[in-house]
Amino acid sequence: MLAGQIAFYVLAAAAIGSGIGVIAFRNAVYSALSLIVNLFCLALFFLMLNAIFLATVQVLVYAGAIMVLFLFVVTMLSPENDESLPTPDRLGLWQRGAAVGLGIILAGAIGYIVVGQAALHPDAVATGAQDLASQISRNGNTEAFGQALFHGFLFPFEVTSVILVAAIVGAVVLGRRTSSREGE
Amino acid sequence: MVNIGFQIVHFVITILFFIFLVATNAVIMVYLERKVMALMQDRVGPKHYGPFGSLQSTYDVLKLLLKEIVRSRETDNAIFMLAPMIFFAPVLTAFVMLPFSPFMTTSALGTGILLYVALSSLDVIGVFMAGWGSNSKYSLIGGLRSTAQMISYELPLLLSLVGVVMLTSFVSHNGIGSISFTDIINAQMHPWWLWFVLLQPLGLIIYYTCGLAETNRAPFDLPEAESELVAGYLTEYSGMQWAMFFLGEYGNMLIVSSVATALFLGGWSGPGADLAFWHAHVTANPGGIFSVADLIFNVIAVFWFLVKVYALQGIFIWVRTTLPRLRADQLMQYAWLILIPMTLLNILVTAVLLLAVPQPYTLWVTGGVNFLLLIGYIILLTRAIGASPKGTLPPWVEARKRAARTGLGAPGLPKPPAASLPPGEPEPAASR
Repeated sequence: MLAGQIAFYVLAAAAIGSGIGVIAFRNAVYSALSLIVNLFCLALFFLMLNAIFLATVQVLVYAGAIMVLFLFVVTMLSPENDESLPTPDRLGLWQRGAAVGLGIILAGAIGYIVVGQAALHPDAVATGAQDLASQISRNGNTEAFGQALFHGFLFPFEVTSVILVAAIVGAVVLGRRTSSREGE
Repeated sequence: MVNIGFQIVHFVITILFFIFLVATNAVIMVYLERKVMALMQDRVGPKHYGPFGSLQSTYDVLKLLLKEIVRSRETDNAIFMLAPMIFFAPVLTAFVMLPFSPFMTTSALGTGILLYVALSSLDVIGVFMAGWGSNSKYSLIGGLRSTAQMISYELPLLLSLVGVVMLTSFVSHNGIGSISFTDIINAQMHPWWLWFVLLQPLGLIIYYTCGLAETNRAPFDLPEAESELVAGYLTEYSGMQWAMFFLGEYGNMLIVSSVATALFLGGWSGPGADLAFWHAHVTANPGGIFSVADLIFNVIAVFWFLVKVYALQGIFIWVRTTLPRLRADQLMQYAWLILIPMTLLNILVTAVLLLAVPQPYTLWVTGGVNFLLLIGYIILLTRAIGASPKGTLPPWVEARKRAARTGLGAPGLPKPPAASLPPGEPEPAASR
């Protein structure tokens, strides 16, 4: 128990520190690298909760693939040299106001969940957790995840894939060169 | 507390074992690479130190350990120093999921394949940091090339393994597939020669190609192309930092070969690797944790595993001596236009066949169709890369023909070398 707590606090400190680093660094590459550390810490949190499949996928998708793309784009565009992009000292008044408002809403939501957790129906939480635990012990973590994804939540899963395909098609349409500029 | 103490000891022993494994493998592979390349290029290779030059790589390691670490003044210090560690750490971590024999596994991880791909995608960050932190143009170009290449080849690498996972769901008793290496090896044990390479040869070929690209080996070694980029992202590194990148690269080769062995070549299975047989015939049991039968079985199992791994690593060297380096655009087209559609087709065909073909013929038909797909892939490849010299002409002949066709003289064109066209011989005709 003690080892788990120590690990949690070390991880929490690393996660918060890297999270601050994301917005505090002036250099965009440093910010992106801090974000990688932050996402990796999140994966380790999943690992501490025995959700090894989620931890693996977190590293694979976010810390690996997506962040590497971020780094790639940051290096290619070097946004710190681009005067047209907004930096903290070029923000307008309404942007600051919106940031404060959204931050208050976010803090309120997190506080509501943390404080109001006891108000959730305790029996429902307990039975749901037991159900999941028995499934995991019977088939293993990955298999339980697969069962839940393709039997319990198949429809949301398919809807998500349709949304992603729409996003890809949109990106292709927006990024396509028009024939007049290309010349052939 | 006893439990935690045991875990720490277990952890330290495992890490030390893997570090020595990676280092030893690198020394062996450097020597083998030089000797085999020398053999294939009709040279002698290293011969001065030790019998047949076998101590050459040991001396190399000593030299690297004693070398001063030189750093240019303009480097981005933190990123520059961290990059070799971030490159090397995932390589060491990836060994936790590899089963060398049924008893030599560090953990029976349920997410074997995914963890492997996740760790290999973390490698990219180390390469990128090396390229960026060096603050040199060669390094940056090498790092960006490597990033683009590794992102592109990660997709077909993962997709080529899906066929194997689907096969485990067919072979296993309860109909649930697995992505854990131990389970996949066990699925290839009934009978012991039913390796998945017989059912998924296309998967193995594509996986191995992507493995070559992921480890930045020839013909995909654009990131460190020495003829154009000095040494790519390694340009500014020296001494032990440089050696860490190379340890990581050779460790990656070991991992790629081990994963191919476990998923496609049956892991530790081979003649004699049969636990029940040894339990039945060797009854001597001096007590302790391992019986003699277990010991014999383990030695044979590890032997077969290592034989397959080193055969695959030999193919790495063979490919390096055989194939020329790809161009950057060829590299990308190969990944996105050939490999990814082929892997998707493989997944589709395998899934349909496993579901549609009736029971006793399923594996036969699946394997046969996959071999046909492999042949189709090879034909497609030869068409795409123009491997045949038939119909190709020297550039100046093409230019002259184009000039004749359009009626325009090509003003800036260099004169064709006179010696290459013997007098009296007609101009080579287009056979295309």
